Amino acid sequence: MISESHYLVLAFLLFAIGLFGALTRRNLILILLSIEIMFNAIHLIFVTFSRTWNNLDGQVAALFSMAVAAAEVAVGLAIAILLFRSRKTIDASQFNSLKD
Amino acid sequence: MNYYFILLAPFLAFVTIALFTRRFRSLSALMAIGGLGISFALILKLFLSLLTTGALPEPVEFSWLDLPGIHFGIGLLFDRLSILMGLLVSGVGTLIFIFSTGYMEDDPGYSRFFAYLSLFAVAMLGIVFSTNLIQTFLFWELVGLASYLLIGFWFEKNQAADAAKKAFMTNRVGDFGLMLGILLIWFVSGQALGSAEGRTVEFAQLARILPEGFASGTISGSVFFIAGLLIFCGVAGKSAQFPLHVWLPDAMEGPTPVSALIHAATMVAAGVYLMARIFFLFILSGELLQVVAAMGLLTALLGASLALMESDIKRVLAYSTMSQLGLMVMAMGLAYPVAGMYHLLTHGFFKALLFLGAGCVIHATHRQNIFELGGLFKRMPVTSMAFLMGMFALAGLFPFSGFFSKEEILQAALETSRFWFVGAEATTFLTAFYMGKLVWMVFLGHEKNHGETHEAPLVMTLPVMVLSFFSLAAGYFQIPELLGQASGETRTAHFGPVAFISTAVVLVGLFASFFLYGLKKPAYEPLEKRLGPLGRLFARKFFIDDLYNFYVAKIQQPFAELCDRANELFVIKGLGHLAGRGLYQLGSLMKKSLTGNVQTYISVVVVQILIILAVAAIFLQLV
Repeated sequence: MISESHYLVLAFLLFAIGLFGALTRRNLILILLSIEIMFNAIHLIFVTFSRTWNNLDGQVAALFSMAVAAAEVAVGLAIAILLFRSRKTIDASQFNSLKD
Repeated sequence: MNYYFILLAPFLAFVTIALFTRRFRSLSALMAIGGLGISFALILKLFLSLLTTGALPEPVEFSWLDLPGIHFGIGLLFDRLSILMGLLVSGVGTLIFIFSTGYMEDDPGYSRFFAYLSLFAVAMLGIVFSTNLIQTFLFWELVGLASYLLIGFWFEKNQAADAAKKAFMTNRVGDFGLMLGILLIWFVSGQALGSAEGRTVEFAQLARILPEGFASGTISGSVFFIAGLLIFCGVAGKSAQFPLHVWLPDAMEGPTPVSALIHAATMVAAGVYLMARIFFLFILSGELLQVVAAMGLLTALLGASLALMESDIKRVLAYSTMSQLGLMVMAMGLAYPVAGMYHLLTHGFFKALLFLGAGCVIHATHRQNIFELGGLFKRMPVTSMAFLMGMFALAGLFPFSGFFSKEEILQAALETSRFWFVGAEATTFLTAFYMGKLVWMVFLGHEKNHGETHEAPLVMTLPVMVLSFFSLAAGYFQIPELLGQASGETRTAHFGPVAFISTAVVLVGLFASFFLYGLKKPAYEPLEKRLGPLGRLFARKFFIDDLYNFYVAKIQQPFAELCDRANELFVIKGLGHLAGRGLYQLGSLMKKSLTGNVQTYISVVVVQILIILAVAAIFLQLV
C-alpha cells in the first residue's frame, strides 16, 4: 500500500534533485528545468495533503501554482534568450557582473 | 524699570548693529551710545536712591543651570561697590563712545567698531554686577573676546593682529588659573557646610561660608592661599600684573578709544574689581596678601621704569596704567581694598582723559612718537589743558583727584611698613617724571611740521572736558566714605606728612623732567646713554618679552614639533597605518568570497537555511 509518506519522500527527493540541479548546472535552460522540478515537488506535496485531509484547497493551490509556473517559465525563457543575445552565451558562470 | 536692562540695553545695541544697522553709520553709533546711556541712567537712578535713602534693591537673578546640587544663576548684585563701579564703567564708557564718533569718523569699519564697543561694555557690566563666580568667569571671557576684537580692529595691519592674539593668549594663561581657583572654591564651599549639596559660587554665600570654614578649621588655611593665588593669576592677566603684563603695551595697536576703554573702564579694572569683590577670601590668608602686595609693588615699579624709555605717547600711558594698577593691587595686598578701589575709580577718570587727549593729538597730527611732536599748546589749547590736568591727576598733585586716592594708598603703605611706602614713593617719582616728559615734549617747545594741525571737533573735546571736570573733582566726592561704609574702613588722613612728602616727590619729578626735556628739547632719548646699562635694560623692557619669545620660539615650539614628529611616527604611521593595513588585508581576504556567481550565493543561503532549521529543530526538541 502506498502511504502518504511515500509521496512526501518522493516530493522531497524531487525537490533535492531540483535544488541540486539549480545550484550546480551551468546551462541556463537546465537551471530553469531544475526549478520546474522543484515546483513539481511542491505541487505533489500540496496534492498529497489535500487527499490526506479531504480538503480541496490544496488541489486548487496546486493548479493555481502551475499556472503561475507556466508564466514564470515563459518569462525565464525570454530572459535566457535576451541574455544569449547580449552575451552570446547561456553559461550561468559567465554571468558574474554582481562581482563588480 | 527692569534692572536687567543695565545689561540688556548695550547687548541689544550690539545685536541690532551686528544684524541690521551695519550699513547706517550714524544710526549704529546712536544705538551704541543710547544702549550704554540707558545702562548709565539706570545705574545713576540706583546711585541716587542710594544717596538719598540708602536703600538698595534686592539682587535679581534668573536660573541659568539648575541641576540637583548645582545651581548657577545670572543676575545683578547691587551694593555700593558694584553701583559705583557700574557708574564709572557706563559713564566713562558713554563718553568714550561719543568721542569715538569723531575719532573713527573716516573708518570704513565704523559700525563694526560700535558693535564691538557695546559688546565690551556689556561684558564689563556683567562682571561688575555679577552675583557669582561662574557669571564673573563667563563675562570675564567675554571681556577677553571683545578686547581681542577691538585690539585687532585694524586686523589688516600685522602688528594689530599680533597684538590682539598676544593679549588674548596672555589672558588665557591667567584665566586658566582663575578657572582652577573657581573650581577649588566650588569644592571647598561644600566642605565648609559639611555637605556636597551646599556647594556654591554665590558671592553673598561665599562671603559668609568661607570665613566660617576658616574660623571653624573645616577648611585648611593653605586652601585659601592656593585658591587666592589661582584667582590672582586671572587678576594678573586682566589687570596686567607682572609677569602677565606683556600684552598691555602691545594692545596700543588698537584704536585710541579702545585703549581708553581698556585702561579706564572695561578691562584692566576688572581684575582689581574682582579682588575687591572677593576680598573676604584674600583676607583669610596673610601669606597670600604678602604675595599680592609684592607683585603689585613689583608691577608698579616695573611699569613706571618701562615708561621712562618709551617714546610712543600711547605706550607711555599704557605703562603708566600698568604701574598704577600695581599700586592698586599693592593696596589690596596691604589689606586696604577701599584705597585700591578709590584709586581705581579716580584713575578711571583721568586715564580715560589722558587717552582721549592722546587720541585728539593723534587724530590731529597722525603721529604718536613724542620726539616727532611738539608745540601743540598753541594749536590745540583745549586738548592741551585737559591733558595737563590729566597729567597732574596721574602724578598726584593737589587738588586733582589722583592726589587724594594716591594719598590713601601711600598712607596705607606707611601704616604697614616703611618698605612699601618707599616703593610707592619711588613709583610716584617715576610717574611724575615720565608724565612730565610726555607733556613737555608734546605740548611745549617749537612746533614741528604737522601741516594744518587744529583742535579736534566738539564731539571729541566735549567728552574730554567732562572727564577733565571729573579728574579734578572726583577727589571731593567722598568716594571712600561711599565705599567705606560697605566695608567699614574709612580713613581720612589728608594733609598729613604723607601728603607733603609725596607732593615734594612729585614736584621733584616734574622739575627733573622739565630740565631734561622741557628747556631744550632733545631729538632722541637722552636717558639711554646717561643711565648706561640700566638704560639698556629699560629700553629692552627688562628682557621680559625676549624671555617669552625665547621660551615660545626655542622651547615650546621645538617641543611642539617633537610631539608632532612623535605623533607622525608612532600614531599616524604606526597605529594608523597598522589599522589601515589590517583592514585592507581583511578586505582583500573577504573580497575573494564574492565571486559574483548567483549560484554560489544561493548555495550559501541554502546551507544557512539548513543550519538554521537544524538549530531550531534541536532547540525545539523536535528530533
